[in-house]
Amino acid sequence: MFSDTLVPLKVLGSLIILILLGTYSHQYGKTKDEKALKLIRTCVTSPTTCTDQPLVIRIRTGDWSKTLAMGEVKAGKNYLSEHPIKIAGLTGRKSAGRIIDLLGSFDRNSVFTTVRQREDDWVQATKYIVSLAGLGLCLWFFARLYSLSPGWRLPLIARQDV
Amino acid sequence: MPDLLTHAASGYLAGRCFYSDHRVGLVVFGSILPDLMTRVPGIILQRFLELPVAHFFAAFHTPTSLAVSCYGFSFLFAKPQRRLSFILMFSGSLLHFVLDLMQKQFYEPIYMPWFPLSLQAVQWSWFHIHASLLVAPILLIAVLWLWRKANETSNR
Repeated sequence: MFSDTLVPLKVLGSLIILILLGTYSHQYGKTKDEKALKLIRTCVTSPTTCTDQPLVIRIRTGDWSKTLAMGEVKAGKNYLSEHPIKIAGLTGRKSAGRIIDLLGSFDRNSVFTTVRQREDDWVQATKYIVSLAGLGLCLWFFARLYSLSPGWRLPLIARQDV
Repeated sequence: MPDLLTHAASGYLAGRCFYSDHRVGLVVFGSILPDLMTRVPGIILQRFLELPVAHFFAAFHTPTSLAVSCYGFSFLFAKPQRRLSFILMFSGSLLHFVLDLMQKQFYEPIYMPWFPLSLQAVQWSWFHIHASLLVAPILLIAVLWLWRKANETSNR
């Protein structure tokens, strides 16, 4: 299994298996997304059909009142601008154009009540920066421990001084 | 996912329980491999180029795909180290996967431990998705201290 025979074939085989697994996952995910999209469209166009049903939606905020915000729901690549929804329980600054992921449900008055919200804020940005720092450190660390051998197949070899 | 620094540091600390030489590097590489295979192409292709590839790359963040990937990567090493390289990289990957399972996602679980046999996703909801940012500095200090200690020992 780990021998030197048929190495290109083994590597190519691994690659093909990965592509097949990815394709399978893509097909499954696509079907799941289509169902979710259909549900979101139905719920946004007639919220009373989805009362108390948990939904995850992405919205773009519009006008705000004292207790409610208006928002356009994203379905696929576009926002359903012709069917804005009323949202309760949204926190943060009351400005238009915020893109927020929401978990919640519609009540009997067709108001979407937020249970949880998420948006790209400074925490997410910090996480990306910390992750990039981690990636850089790993590459540096790995380069300190291993080097490329002079052989044409370029296997990695451990550095002798470490 | 916890941030990559937390994953790498946890891989280093786990690796140091068994080795203090170059083999630790394999566990560290394994511990960042799932995100290298999934998040990096996902962020570039899905977030910036808006290509619908998230589900395709999500498959690479599963134990089966990680085993296949580690097997492929093991051929970067010479034959005598190949088997051990595979085991250490895969151990690091599994550590990463288990840490990801511990998170509480926004709503539904997203990680599929039994893929492709089952598409059932699992989460244990032990900590918040951003909680790793609080632990990362502590882990980094622990890694730097151990790294310095290992260097001092090898210089003697």
